[in-house]
Amino acid sequence: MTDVPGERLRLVRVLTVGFAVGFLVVRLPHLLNLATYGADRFEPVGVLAPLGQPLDPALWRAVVLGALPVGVAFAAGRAARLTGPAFAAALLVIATYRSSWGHLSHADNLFTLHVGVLAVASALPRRRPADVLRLLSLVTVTTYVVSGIAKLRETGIAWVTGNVLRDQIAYDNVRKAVLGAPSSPLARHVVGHGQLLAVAALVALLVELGAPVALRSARWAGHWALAAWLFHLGVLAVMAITFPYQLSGVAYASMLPLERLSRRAARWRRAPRSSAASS
Amino acid sequence: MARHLVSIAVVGIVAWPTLHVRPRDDFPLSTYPMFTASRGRVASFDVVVGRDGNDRLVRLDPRLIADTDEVMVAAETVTGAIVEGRASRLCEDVAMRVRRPRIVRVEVRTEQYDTIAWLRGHRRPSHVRAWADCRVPR
Repeated sequence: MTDVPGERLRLVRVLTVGFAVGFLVVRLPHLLNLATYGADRFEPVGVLAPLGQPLDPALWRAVVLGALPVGVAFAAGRAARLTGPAFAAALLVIATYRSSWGHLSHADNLFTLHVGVLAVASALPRRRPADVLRLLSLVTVTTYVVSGIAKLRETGIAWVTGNVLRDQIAYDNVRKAVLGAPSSPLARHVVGHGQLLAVAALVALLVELGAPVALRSARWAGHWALAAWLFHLGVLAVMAITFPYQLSGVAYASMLPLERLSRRAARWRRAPRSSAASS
Repeated sequence: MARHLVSIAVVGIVAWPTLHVRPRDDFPLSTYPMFTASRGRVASFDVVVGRDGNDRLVRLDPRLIADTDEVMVAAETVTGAIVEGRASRLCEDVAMRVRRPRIVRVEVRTEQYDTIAWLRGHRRPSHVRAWADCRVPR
């Protein structure tokens, strides 16, 4: 019998670590350019908080470029006990350094945490794939709940009226426009619909605070993952803010039956050969 | 039992920043404060703009403002320069990056808008405060 969680964990590792490597490749020019930023803009956070000045440019470039082959090896499962922790540590430094210039990039948190969980799991001599998958899902769910708590803590019940969301949509789009960046063409239509915004604000809060339902069963997980994905699609549509990890769907991979898709794909690949052999 | 303890520990670590009396955002453990601030309709924006030979305003993009393609990094760079008294230096840095022949001057300034009205087409700022003004070198 096939070990379903084991197969799913392998797929989740390929997708999650693959996403992280893809992120490094796509953002490579930006990441390497950080070496040229002036020390006056450096505001170190997280594990880099003790740093008094930016990293040496050569060291920074070595960490970024060195992380790529290590990440590819970890995604492929090669020497995972070594490449897993090495890549997770490098990714943590890279993502933290990227957030150390005055703006915390909240789109990077979840995949950095997921790679960390996968790395720790790969370094353990004995682990149950089902437990690792559950931990990954727990991390996902907790980040959403924390987001929901932040909304209630900062704005209280005013969040549900939709006014906070309306002002936030307007503020964010105007800020982008006056700083010469693309903004959402939908924003000016949306801000005039108070009831729609009140519903959207309530739905966003329900998706975030209701995230633990995803841990109940595969069916609940599928429904919640779809709701969360649509939530991020809405954020992209009206605020032009991208959460690539969530929008790619990889963020929810640990709670979805990927192994079924994998088997279906395998059957589909085999099918033409069978028919060719029989003719 | 061990599985449950590990689960509780993981949830506790991820939720840790929000359990503080005064939550502080960090990375990768965050309070996820995006979209939570009550902005109000009237808001101020720290920007860097260009001026052409006819004194018409030209919006500059994050690449010119802060040598980045990330708008939030550009926004924080401008605000940081203003707050820390480095607006003139930022102005000169941007002027060095501007290679468009029609832009002759650069300004670091704070613009105030009714953001809802802005989206409806009323683009004139209700208040402007200039922090620095410099010529584009030729």
